[in-house]
Amino acid sequence: MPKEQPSGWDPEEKKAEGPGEGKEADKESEKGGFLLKAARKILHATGRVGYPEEIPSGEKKETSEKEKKEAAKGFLGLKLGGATLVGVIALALGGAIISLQKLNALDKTFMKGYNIAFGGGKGGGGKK
Amino acid sequence: MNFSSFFNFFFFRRREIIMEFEDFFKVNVIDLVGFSDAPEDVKQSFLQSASQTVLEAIVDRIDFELPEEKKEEFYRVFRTGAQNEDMQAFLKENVPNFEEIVGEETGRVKAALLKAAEDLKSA
Repeated sequence: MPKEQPSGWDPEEKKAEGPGEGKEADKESEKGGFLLKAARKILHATGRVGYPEEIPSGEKKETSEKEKKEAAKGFLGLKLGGATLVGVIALALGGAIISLQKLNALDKTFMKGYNIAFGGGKGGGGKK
Repeated sequence: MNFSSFFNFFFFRRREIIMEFEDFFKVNVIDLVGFSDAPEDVKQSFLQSASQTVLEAIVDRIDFELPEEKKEEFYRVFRTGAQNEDMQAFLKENVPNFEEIVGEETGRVKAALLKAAEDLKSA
């Protein structure tokens, strides 16, 4: 005997956890995509510490975006310390990296990187 | 607060600011952008995309820093399916400050995401 379905049941909504929650997840997903796009714009707008904002045309061979994306995929297999690079980045974004003993040494270079970024140039000594 | 003073606020090296800087470093980007209550798959997808953004920023940075004659080799070594040993050897020889670059770009992306989230909130 077939199970009694609640009225208004839509088989398309099966993947959602409950009524309305699929739409909430879509909204959050959309917000995430928007935030990432906005963050990329901010990164491009602020340029890099010590770098010129505009590369004069003709002076440098411009690498295509496709080549750069391909290179980014290549980094997926790179190991850093005892873990993969992308795993370390995810941990750093997640705020968990400090608590991992295995990555303790790496933590220091991350901190150095953070400090160098906007601290007014590279510090003296201590570079391994 | 304009954007450059935002960065100075977080990263200027004064003792009282270092504490706030460390808090920023320790906090989860998911919480920073207000996704704490989002479904797990949305959080995972967002973190994955954010990590990808960091990788692209790292490539951009290395591309900028490398001399022209080394770029072709870089893009030859770093592609889908690249071998870890080849990548390690290239970085050791040509990008000695690689780990610092990774830390720096991760911080920039995290800060940019926070700024984007704050702009969205105030919009």
